[in-house]
Amino acid sequence: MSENPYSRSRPLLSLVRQPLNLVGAVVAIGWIFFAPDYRVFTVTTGLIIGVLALGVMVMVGWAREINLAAAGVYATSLYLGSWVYRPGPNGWGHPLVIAIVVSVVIGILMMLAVALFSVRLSGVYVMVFTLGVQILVERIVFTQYRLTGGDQGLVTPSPKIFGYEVSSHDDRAFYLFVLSVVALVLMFLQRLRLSPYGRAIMLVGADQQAAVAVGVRPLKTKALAFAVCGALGGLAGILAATLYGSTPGTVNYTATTSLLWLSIAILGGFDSMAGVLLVAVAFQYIPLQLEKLHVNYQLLAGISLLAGVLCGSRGLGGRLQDLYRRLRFGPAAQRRSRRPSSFTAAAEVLARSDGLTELREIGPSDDVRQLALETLESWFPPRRTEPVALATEDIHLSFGGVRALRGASIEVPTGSFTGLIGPNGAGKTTLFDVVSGLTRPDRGTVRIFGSDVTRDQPWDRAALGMTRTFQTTRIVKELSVADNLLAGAGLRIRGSLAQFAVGMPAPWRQVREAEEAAWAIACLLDIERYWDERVGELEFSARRRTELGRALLSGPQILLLDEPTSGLDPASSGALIGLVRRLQADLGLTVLLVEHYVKAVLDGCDLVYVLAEGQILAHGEPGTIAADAQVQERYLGAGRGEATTGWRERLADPAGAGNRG
Amino acid sequence: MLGIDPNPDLFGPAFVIGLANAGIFSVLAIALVLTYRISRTIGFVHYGIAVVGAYGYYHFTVEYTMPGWVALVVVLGIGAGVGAAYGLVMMNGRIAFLPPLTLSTVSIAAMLIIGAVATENFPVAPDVAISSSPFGDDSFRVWSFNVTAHRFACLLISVILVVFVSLYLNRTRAGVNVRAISDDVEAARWSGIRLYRIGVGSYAAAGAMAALAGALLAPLAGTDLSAILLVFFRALTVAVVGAFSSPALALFGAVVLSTVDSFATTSALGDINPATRESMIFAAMVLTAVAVAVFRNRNSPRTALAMRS
Amino acid sequence: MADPRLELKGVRAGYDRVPVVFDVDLGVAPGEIVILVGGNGAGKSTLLQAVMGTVAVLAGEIRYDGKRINRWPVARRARAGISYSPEGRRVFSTLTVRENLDAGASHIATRRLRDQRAEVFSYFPILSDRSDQLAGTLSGGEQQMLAIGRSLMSGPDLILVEEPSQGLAPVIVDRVYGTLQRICLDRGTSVVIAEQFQQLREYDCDRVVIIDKGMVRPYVAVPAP
Repeated sequence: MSENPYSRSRPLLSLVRQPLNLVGAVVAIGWIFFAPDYRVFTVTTGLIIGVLALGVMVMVGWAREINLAAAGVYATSLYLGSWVYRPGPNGWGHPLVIAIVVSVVIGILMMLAVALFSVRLSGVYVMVFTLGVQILVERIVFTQYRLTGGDQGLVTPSPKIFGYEVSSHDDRAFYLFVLSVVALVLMFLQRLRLSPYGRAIMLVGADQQAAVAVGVRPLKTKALAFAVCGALGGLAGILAATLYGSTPGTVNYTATTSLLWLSIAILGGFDSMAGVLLVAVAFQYIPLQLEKLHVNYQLLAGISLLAGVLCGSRGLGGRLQDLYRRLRFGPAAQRRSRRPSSFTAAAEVLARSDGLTELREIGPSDDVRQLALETLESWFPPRRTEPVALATEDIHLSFGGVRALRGASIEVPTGSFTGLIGPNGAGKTTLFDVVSGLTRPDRGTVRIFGSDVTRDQPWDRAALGMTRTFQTTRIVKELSVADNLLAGAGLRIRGSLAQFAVGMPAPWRQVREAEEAAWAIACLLDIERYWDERVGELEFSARRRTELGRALLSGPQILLLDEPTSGLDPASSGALIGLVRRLQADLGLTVLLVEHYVKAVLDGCDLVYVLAEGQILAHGEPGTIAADAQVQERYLGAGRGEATTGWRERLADPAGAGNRG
Repeated sequence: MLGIDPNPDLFGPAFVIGLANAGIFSVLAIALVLTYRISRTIGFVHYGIAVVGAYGYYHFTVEYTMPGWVALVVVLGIGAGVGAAYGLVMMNGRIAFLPPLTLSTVSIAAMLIIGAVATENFPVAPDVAISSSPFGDDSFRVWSFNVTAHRFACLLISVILVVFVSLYLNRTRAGVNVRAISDDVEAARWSGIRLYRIGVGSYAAAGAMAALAGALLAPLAGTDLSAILLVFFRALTVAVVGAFSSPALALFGAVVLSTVDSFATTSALGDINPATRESMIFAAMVLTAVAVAVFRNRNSPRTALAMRS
Repeated sequence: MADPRLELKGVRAGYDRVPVVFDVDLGVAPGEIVILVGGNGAGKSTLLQAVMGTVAVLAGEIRYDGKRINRWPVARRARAGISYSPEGRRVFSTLTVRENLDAGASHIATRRLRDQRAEVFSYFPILSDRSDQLAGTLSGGEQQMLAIGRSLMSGPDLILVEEPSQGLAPVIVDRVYGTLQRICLDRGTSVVIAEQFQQLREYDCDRVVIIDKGMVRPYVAVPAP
């Protein structure tokens, strides 16, 4: 196993290592000494909005929920926060730190309230509810004139930091203050993103089912994204309150403003925090330059939203990153062709042979494999020794009058490679969903290592060591192979969000171990050469293997595979099944495989269950199953290769060989 | 504590005024339902078109002194035109196949652009922005309460629209095509359904309805943008009650909601301060919407995951 | 061979001006069943969609019944008698079976609709029993039949079927192929079926064409060992 050249599990180091980031930091500090005051002020305003937009990015870009209440939350924090620290009749005169805490907490609480109601429902409801919050704020908070001062605002003194008055008259000092806050926020977000929490948010946003399969709790995770959005909105609010010397009038924070700020996050994209900040600053700066042209804020927001959508979900920032990579490393296709995959090479050799596919074992060379397995030894939890890994007893399930399962019972021995085949509509997928916890049966029990999990949630089952892949390859196309793999590691990493945020060594050491394990798995699956490539640009079988890798990184005892070969050509199918078998043996996994590629199941499995009409029709060793008359008739149909005449003759003479009505 | 002090004498009138108000936002809600039915998106764009309707109607009647009816027809035409143009964009190959949430974002973008263009091109004199109704200024008494012809006409129009849109969606071949498009745009195209014709037609109809809602609002609330937004938001909630699919349920939701609203505003429950009132209405809307969503989701096993925790 | 119903000459097609299939020559005779076999990403779907009109033809020409149809919109091709049953079935799951069928016949006059439906039901009697059921509640095999039924509703002369066997048990696949063959015999319809290698049924068609990396080559059967 070669050294992983792209390690990123040290968040700060990885930020500093990018030359562009260093250049950006120098420019961000240096330029103010050459610019007029008013311009520094404008950019400061832009950065404050940037902090808020970064929060919106977490919610919109990572968790993929639309937030239409950004301005409402910001304004509420701004008014209440400035009340906390403003002296005199219109305030309590507490220190700024308390005001900041209050503002952040208000932001978090408001967004959590939205999350409480809407997060279980579809994204449409989140939109409606956040719009509702915005309108409610406009009607209730904005009309409290003692608090807001109406359209005029209230005079608010400048903040004191460590006894030094950061006056709003001293634009550069305030700029540097805001810049340092921005730096802290960036550091926090970078840590969040590389921690299991951030990865979980992204996975839940992209694909909830894939997320629960590796043990992510979807509602809590989404609520976290909402809370981060609210916290950064509140922080930006209190910063703005101190910037202007008086709170801005309520007219600045209507629904239109929310939409303008939403468009910053969408145009900036979720992949580039610098992109979001730049767009935020540009949005403050450009309208000033275009004052004469009557640029309407609404128009600007509308056009930039449209531009953001056309840029794709990675936004302008993503486009710029692509451009940068292209300039530095050459076009994507060229990058990939420089790293030929032994997997595809082997598959091609097989494809040219004879059309009949053997389950040939391919994969990394022996020494690479040995090293990789040693790394994984410490990553995987100790293997369970109970004789039966997974059992279902008498599962019944019907929906809408259709009786999908009628007493299906299976038993998967620990360490076995068990196949489940059956005609379509027999209930294979339903049984799979019952086993993995996506559907609850009407009757019957599911046991994992002997303990009853029938009423457990999918993520609880994942924590017991069971994970799955999906027929439709649920991966996050916009993320790299590495990010996709590591999204599966959450279950094996301990540590609270706060520990990750302040950079405690123990949890981050686990993240580094996770990255090493991911690299080892990538080597075993022959996708390490794509480590830093986005999965959406890879060929199909590499995507499949990436999904498989994510499942493996959760350190499973039991691996459920739902038609892993669907959509692959016979050579790749054979190769993939061979690879999985080898992994199963090497890692001591228990595998339950649903397949339509009957040959693969009959050739590769230790034990085969045949499901028909919601019941187990037969089970046993592959040889027995292939010979079973009932299975032949109800599932396999006329034996392949028996028909030797053309279809026209057969239709003309139904009595002839191989009648296939 | 909430200052609730029921006054039974006012229940009747409050109910009548609630019913009369329901018309306005159910017209907008039906436009939302139609849009959702064809694209699975929230038609934020209809807020923009409603602004066009309100500003245009005001502008034509007050600045150009057009008769109300003529102005209404002109505004309807503009609304249909804007809707059709939006439909052309949405059915475009680059846009039509995007996921619903992204399409809703496009809709927000269109709403902002259209709203901006409308407010730039139909300037309104501040403060005096209430125009006269196309249905005259008559009123009649129901339950000792004055109902203007305008409000009555609004309710009538929305009932007629509910009937027409329901029939169109559920009883005509074009309606089948519309629902096929919303189910799977690509498959609809492969089946030979003419996306542009059906899509642009439906969006034009929805656009005309939104403009109508705006024009109907102008004589009541004038051209106050936040009032239009509020009406739009209520229409949105009402459409949620109908799960964005049923015009009749949307009308029902509109009646319930505006009755709650009028009970709160006509002091049938005593003098409630505005903040409490808004919170009450908001809470009522949220709870209804959640209840409907939960009820609808309970019947489909696939979505069970999202509902439990 | 009689005048081909469908003829592709040097066709190059793809998305966003990036070709996926290159210089494809292919002819399909009336009443012929052709299986187009290839792996994922080989260009099967792109080729069929280029014929149906949802993928741009970048070079070469597609002739249907002798007419050059390169620039025809999808709906016009449908009226001319081409229909397409997509991969993954893609039935309208929130519509009933009957509405699904009607959606496949959007250019057929209302008075002919009943006859068309009756014809489809004669091939797929099960659909007639379920005509008021929502398509999403059908089993996979029934959905596949519905997808093919929907593409039959326009009374086509050329049916393009993509991966009809995907996710179906072998016995159901037998039935689907049998019906396609009957349709072909009864109506003289040409059928082009795109399939994965595992599902290749060389005895169920008149001709097999291999498509690999966007290029076609004829299939040579492997002699039995």
